[in-house]
Amino acid sequence: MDKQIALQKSGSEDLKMWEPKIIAFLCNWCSYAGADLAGTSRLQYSPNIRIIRLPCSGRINPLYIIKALVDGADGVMVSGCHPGDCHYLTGNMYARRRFTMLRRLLTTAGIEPERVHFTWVSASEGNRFAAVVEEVVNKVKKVGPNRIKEISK
Amino acid sequence: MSFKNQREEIIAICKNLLDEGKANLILGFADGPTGEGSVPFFIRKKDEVDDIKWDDACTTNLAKYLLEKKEGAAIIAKPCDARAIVMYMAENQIDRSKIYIIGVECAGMKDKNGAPPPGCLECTLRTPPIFDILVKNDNSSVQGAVNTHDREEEPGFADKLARFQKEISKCILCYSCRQACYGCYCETCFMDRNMPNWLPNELDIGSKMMFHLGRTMHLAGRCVECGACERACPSSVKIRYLIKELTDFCEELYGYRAGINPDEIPALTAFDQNDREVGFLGGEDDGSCCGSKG
Repeated sequence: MDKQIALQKSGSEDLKMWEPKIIAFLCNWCSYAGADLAGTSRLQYSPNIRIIRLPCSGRINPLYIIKALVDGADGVMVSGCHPGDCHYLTGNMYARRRFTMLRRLLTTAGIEPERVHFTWVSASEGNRFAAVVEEVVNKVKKVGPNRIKEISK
Repeated sequence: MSFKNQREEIIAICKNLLDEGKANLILGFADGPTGEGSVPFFIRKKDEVDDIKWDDACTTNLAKYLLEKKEGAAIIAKPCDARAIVMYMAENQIDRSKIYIIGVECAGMKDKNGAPPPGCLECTLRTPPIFDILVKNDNSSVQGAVNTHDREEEPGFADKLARFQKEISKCILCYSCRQACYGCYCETCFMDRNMPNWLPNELDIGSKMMFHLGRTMHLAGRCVECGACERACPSSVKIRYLIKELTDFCEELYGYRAGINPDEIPALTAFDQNDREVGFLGGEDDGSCCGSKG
């Protein structure tokens, strides 16, 4: 059963002990500020995300997401400003098309869509950021550890 | 029989071009070294024109040679090659006014075993979307229009990953597909860069995944479905199904197919306020989540 092998490789024998490692690419002006607001509001949410701050969601090269998954991340979360509210006016619009295509590609290659999530979180949505992280972590927990680790020798 | 007629017409056109000075280099095909198959042929003198080959072995996509020779070139373009030329125009890689396109109608090619090569089986395009002069094909039947991508039998995720791994494990990272592809013309490919370094020091299956997923993303919305990648592969990696999924998806979402309409802006360099957010959190459900949606 490949899930068992993947669990063993990830260092935790028991599914209950495994904690997913999720890389979060956040845009500086909206999503990162929203995450910061969640922090200053002392909201509790799952500590499974590792945040990488970029100036804009449009700056995110699809290769970052692919590399994160190939290197073994259990999940990737990308968040930007709401369409129409981009600090650089149109960055997130280009990003939207790119991410839609990337998600379809990853699904075709057999990477579960529950691992990769795109969303828009604004700077004032601290509560929502915490809720989004919980949603992403729950979805990733359901699909288990990243199986690429077991075949990538 | 129609290939023979087309060949005579092409030879007449080429001789004319060289005489009138409209082109000083013509990109076409010649016999392969064993007499079968075809090789790209660069014609500069009038007495070379009679060596032109035109039949169902002329599979190569010649459009990429235009990048080296941007002025004074003529090209014998099948519909898929012409699509690549349209994309070069859209991406500002060539100047339309400086090249002469001999468009040739195509009913499909054959590989050395007599079967349709990758790209021909699903092709529905007989006439090049762009040309300066058209060489018609009086053969009314079109080989293609067979839909080999059956949506109803959507395989499960274990099968999708198994298929991907099976194809990728054959890959030897020779980059033939990259060299053959019209769309891969970056001076330094991302695989060859070290700032940032996308590959680990020891190449493994993860590197192959990076290459194929990365290259497919770079071609998202740009693939002209010529099949050059799969033809070029020495390891018979059936890689086209990945990009075909994106090509169909791009048409579904944005109504855009690369290289068909010279006036269209490529889909991923444009946006619309009302773009669909398929699969986004809080967006459209893409129905591909196996398991709970909770």
